[in-house]
Parts: sequence; C-alpha cells; structure tokens
Amino acid sequence: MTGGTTVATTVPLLHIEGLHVGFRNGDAVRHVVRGVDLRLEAGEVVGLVGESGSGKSITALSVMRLLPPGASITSGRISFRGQDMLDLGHAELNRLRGGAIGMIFQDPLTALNPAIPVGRQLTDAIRAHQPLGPRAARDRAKELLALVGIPFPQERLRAYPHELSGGMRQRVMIALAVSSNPSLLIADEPTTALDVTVQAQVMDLIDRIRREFNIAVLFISHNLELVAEIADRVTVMYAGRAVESGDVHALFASPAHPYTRQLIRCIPRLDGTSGAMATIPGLPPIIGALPPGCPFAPRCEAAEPQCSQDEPPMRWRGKHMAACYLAPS
Amino acid sequence: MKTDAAAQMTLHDVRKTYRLRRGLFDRLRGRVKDVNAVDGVSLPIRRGAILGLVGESGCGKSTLARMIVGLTPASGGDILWGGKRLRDLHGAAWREYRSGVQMVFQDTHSSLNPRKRIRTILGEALAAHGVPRAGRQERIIALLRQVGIDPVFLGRYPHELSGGQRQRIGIARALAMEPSLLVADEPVSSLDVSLQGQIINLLRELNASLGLTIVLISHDLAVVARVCDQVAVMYGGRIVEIGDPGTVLSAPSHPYTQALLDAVPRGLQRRARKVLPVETGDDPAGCRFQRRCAHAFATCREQSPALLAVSADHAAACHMRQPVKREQVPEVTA
Repeated sequence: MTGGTTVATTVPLLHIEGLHVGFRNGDAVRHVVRGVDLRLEAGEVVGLVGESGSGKSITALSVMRLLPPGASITSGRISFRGQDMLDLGHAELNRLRGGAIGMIFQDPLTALNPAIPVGRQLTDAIRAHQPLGPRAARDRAKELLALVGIPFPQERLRAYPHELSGGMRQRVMIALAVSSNPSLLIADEPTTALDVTVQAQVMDLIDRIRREFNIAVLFISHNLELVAEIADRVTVMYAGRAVESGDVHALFASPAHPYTRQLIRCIPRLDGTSGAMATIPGLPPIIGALPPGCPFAPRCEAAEPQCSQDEPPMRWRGKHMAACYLAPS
Repeated sequence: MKTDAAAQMTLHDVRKTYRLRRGLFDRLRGRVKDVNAVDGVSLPIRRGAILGLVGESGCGKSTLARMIVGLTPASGGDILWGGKRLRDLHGAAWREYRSGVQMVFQDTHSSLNPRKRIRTILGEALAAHGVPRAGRQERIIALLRQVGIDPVFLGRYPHELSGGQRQRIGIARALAMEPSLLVADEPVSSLDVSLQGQIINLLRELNASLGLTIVLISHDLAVVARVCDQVAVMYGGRIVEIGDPGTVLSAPSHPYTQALLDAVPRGLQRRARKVLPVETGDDPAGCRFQRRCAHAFATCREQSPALLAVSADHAAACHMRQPVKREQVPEVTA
C-alpha cells in the first residue's frame, strides 16, 4: 500500500473483532460481551439493537474505553482508523474522546454538568481539542448551538442544563459531541427519554448533521423501528453476542434469526389492530447464568432440541449473517 | 357537565396553577407568573373502561393524573368521586377514595423502596388497607400470581428484579388496595420494546377480569391505540381531542393529533416522518397550539377554541373544525 486512498478503502473507520468484556466478581469473570465483531466505514450509520443487558452499551463504551468499574476487556481487538484503541495511553485516549469520536448518551441531564452554564461546557470542550482563544471558542459555541437548532443561541449560552427542556438538552449534547469535528459519533439511546415529537426532531438533527459533516454513527437502541430510520446496517445483539447482522432493508424484509423476527413483531404499530400486544415470552437470560446452547432458545418460538446443545455461530444467510441453526441459508 | 351514572369519576373544569417563584426583586415589584399546568379539563372517566391520555412532556397529563389520585389538590374546578366532590371528602370517606384510586409510576427505581424486600413492600400496602397480619402472606402470594411473578421473589429486593418485573410489583402494590380506578403514568416507557407488551397485556387482563377502570398515560400512540376504549389528547393543559382511538388516530380532527401521528417512527419509510417545529416562548393568547400549527389563522390568535363534538363519540378543540360542525351536533357527548 502506497497511497492514502488505498488505506482509506481497506481499513474501516472502526473495527471491533472478537470483543469480550467481563465483570470480575471474586475469582469469577462474568462476560457481558462474548465475542462481538463490528465494522463501520467512514460516513456509515450502523445500528446496534438489543434489550437491556444484551451488551450493546458495553460494546459502545469499550470503544471509548469508558467501561464501568469492575468491567474490563478480556480479549478482542478494537481499532479506530487502523490504530489499536486498546494500546493507547491516557493522553492519546483523551484526545480521541470528544475529539475524533463524539458520544451522546440517553440522559443529557446526567451527562451535562448541572453547575456550569452550557456555553462554558461547550467552550471548555472546544478549547480542549482546538487551539482557539476564549472569544473564538465562544463564537464557535454559539455557532454550534445555532447548528443544532437551539433558538436564541446567544442567550442560551448562559443557561444551565436544568433550564432547558429534555429535547434542548439533547441538542446541547449533540453540539458538544460534534464540537471537534468527529469522524465517529456514538449515540447510546439518544432519544429514549424523549417524547415522540421531540424524538423525531432529534433523529432529524442527527441525520442532518452526519450527512453535512460525513460523520459515521454507531446508533444504539432497543427500538428496531427507530434504528431502521437512520441506519444503513444493523447488528442485533442478544446475551452478549451478535445474533444477526446485515443491511437494514434485508434484515427487515427477511429476518433470519427468530429473535429479530419476534422483536420486529413486538413493535407497537398504528395499523388499526387492537387487542393483546405481541411480546417475547420470558426474560433475557441473566449474565453468568446462560442456558446451554443458544441463549435465546428458552424464549424462541422455533427452538428445536439441537438449539439447547451448542451455541450456534454466526454464518452467512443469503445477504446477512445470523447465529441460528434454523435460519434459511 | 353533570355526573354521569356510567362514570367512575367525573372531572369538571379541573385546573392546576403553579406560581413560578422568581427572585425577591420581582416578587416585590409584583412580577409573579402563574403557569396553568392543567387549564380546565372536563371529562367523565367511564367505569370499566381504559382511557388513554396522550401528550408531550409538560402538557399537564401527569399533573392531571396526580389530581385524579389525590396526590395534589386541584386549584380550580371539581373532581367528583361517587357523586361527591373530592374537596368535601374527609376522614373515612377520604381514606376510602384514596385506596379506591391507585397509581402505577413510570420509574420503578424510585417508586419502590430499594431497602425493602418485595414481601415488605406488598405487606405494608396490605397493612395500610387493613388486612390483618394473619392473612397477609396468603394475599401477597395471590397478588404476585395475579401479576405473573413467581412467589420465589418474595425475599428479593427491587434491584434484583428486571425493569418489567419491578413494574409488575408496582402494579401488585396498587392492587393490594383493591382499587376500582388505576392510573398508570407511562408504565412502559422505560421498558424494552420486547417487554412493553407484557405489561400492557397485564393491564388489559386486569381491566377485563376485575372490571378495573384504567387511565393509561402514554406518549406512545401505538400502545394507546391498541388497548384503550377512549383516547384523550392533551396540549397546553387542555384536552384538544377526545374520542374512540379508531377514529381519533385514523381520522384526527386536531392538527396536534395529526402532528403526533406524523412523529411516530416509521422505520424503513424514513422520509414519511414529519417534524413539528420547536415550541418557543410563553403561552400565547388564543389557541395554545397556534405557533406550531401549519393551519393557524386570525381567530386562532384571538380565541381559545372550545372542545366541541365532531361526531357522536369524538370531540376536538380546533377553530378549523367548528363553524360547520357546531350546528350539526349540539351536545358534547365525549
């Protein structure tokens, strides 16, 4: 490889291979992420879908090396623009966090500092990554607030997070996340705490901004329908593993894994049907006490005896990958 | 509006006003500001029905719920329970009302005491309801069965349960009081999509088997459409549209209801989703929705539209609908 262009086409922006993350509990390690592979190209939107406890957020936090206390990456590789993330020191990591990789969380009220005006939080973030003076940083902060659709940005610079509505706070989070021209945005349930109307506004905003600045997005949600709105590709996680992965259209048109199929059926729709809602019976398995074989087998509508013996590996099924013995090939 | 024989509870022009506390200087200058969280809601809550209450944060739906349950008094208007005004209830009558109307909260982390076991949480509710100690254990197990929780969870703490299981405990605690009206404030919005249906189905079963009247507050129109007998859409402290979900959600008469429908995620049909403009500034005179409404005209900026019937079981508060319909259907039946 000689030219930069060749590198750009062969090395993905973000590459996660065989990621295992475990919580240490005495001598035992409970794995919450058990071998996840994920690939994001520049400018691409990948959705990561799963129930609480499926390991989707932990996978995302691993990229930033922001795991909660007690959790650690036990094996696997994460590379960003070809650079090994697990090799980086603190200073280098901090340059990437909020720099080339921006992040937005579910709850902007806890992610923002309640005691500092949003303008100051923005200028701090800007000056941490860019060589700008106080005045220039303030101008940039105002520009960013306007960019994310906050009315009266000049006045809002002085506002404290609690003075803003949930939707406005999430806009501030997005402004913070894009303040240093990231090439990757990790969005962890960014609209879950919001009303549908505000959710639509924020989804629109994320989509507009990522197109305008060609930002790749790793979009995490438990709502497949929401993910389908923005993602090019989707990975569905269950019990710490990817169980289905592929192009969003193919995945919706012909879900190969029964979990994906049942999940799609659960989405409440305004199609005039009334009566009992579809559900997935039972509960997600408890990490550390996984059933033998396929972890979804106890809740699966199609399970056969072989499903309770060995855990099925991810295999190509037509246009997408699925980890199910019964998936059509 | 008179008391309806079929009504479990009747709300008559119910209001809740909060005074915004400003600095001392403003208060001395008499510059105080009142916020009308609920601004004149009239509605019978039909016995044995599931009423869906829909609207954005800040529309007053949770404040209305708290007034229905008696957690906060109304600042104006009347709530009628068993033909009596809530403010006239005292002593035993008040206690009877308070146990007859129960609430299920959105956040199961903060509504269940983290330091008490499930057994204690339910036992305390039963004690409050006057169930003698001897009969409690049996009743607790019956309650758990009723909400689909295995009695092995009796000795567990709330954090040892999943979100869906905690919400079931919240429902069991409400049922311990043997209520006839249950107010569920966003009971599934913090749950995974895969588990939401389980809780909603449980509420449906309780409605069918116990004849329990339910007020279901949700911002998810699809959930409301699915299980409710009647849906009320709130905006700016008022009901802007009410009717049976089939009509309201398939042929809405208020532009705000239409906007809510347009905002529902449509998955792969990405471009179909329309975005409502951001709400800015103080409440305007006239229709509260005017600044976000694509159809607003002069009248909307002057007069607040009344909630008037569109058809037999359907009413809307929008000037666009009214001049024609007013003669056709004289009485609001919703």
